[in-house]
Amino acid sequence: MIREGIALILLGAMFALLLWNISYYCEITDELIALVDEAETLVEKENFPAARSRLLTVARRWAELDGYTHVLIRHVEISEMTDAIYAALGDVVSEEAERAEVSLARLREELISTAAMEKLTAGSIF
Amino acid sequence: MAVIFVRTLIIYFSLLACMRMMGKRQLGELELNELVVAVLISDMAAIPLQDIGIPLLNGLLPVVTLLCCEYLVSGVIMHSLTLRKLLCGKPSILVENGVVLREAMRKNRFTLDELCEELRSLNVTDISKVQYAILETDGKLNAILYPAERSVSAGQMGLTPEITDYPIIVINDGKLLIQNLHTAGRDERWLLEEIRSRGAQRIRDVFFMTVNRTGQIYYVPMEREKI
Repeated sequence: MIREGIALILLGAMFALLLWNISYYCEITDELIALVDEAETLVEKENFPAARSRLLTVARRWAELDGYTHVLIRHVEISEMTDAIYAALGDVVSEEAERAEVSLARLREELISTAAMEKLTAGSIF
Repeated sequence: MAVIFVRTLIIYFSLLACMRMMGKRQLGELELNELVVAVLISDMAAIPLQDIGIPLLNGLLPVVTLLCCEYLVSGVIMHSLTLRKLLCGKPSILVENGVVLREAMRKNRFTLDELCEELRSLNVTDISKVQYAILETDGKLNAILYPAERSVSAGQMGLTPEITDYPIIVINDGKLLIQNLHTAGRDERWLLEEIRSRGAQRIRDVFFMTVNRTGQIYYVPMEREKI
């Protein structure tokens, strides 16, 4: 009975940790999405230096999470996200408003989809 | 990651249910829950091994989840008779008093050819000599012959055979297994005397040696290296 008890506790603990992981990852992506939204508004106002600063914050924050993301997220997704961040940054630096808007929208979608993949929904499970 | 956890649980219990419905024939010496874990575990662990782009945790998490499920299910089977019957089923009698039970055969999807094949593997060629043939929960067929067809035991013949004890390995490939030696009720001094009387000088000159509690020894010396 002890072994079964330990197994049940372990299952419960794993599930609780995974739920905590979802909320942590969603918190991170929400923070990054907010920064991307700010950058998008700034690009619309053609304030490229401020938009660039927001995106640099996004890039730095994403790089800081490297240890966490490599353990928990598939490396393909990490690469796609990194590509999207630097593509948006490149367009903002080159001050091309239309291209920057498109790449910022793509970056936001990447962030939303990576968070959605971690969430427990019927779509992600099945 | 939580998605992988939930998916593992769903797949485990779905496989358990599907294999239960497939019947005993699919099992073959493993209980249902053991077979499901055996089928799943190797594949799940192999995924991050083959693709280094997948975090190792993606492979470890389902393995640990399956281990926990297996402990839980085997624990439940042990304690609850109803769930044991539900998950493992119960043995089915396929032959009773030399008569093949068609309904039981049909229920277990066991053909006559398969029954004969299984009986032949048990050295039974004539079904009429079988009192009971039972399909066990792990898919194995056991046959009980009529008393007149069974081998005669020493007891039935009124003989009293010599009681032999279980042989304990004390030297394995030139290495002394000290715990086994003590279990056999012997010590190293006795062992050295025994091997010296057989022409060996040291323990490493002996390839294999067993002894039982009555003192019977089986001794194989180490082969000399060819020069």
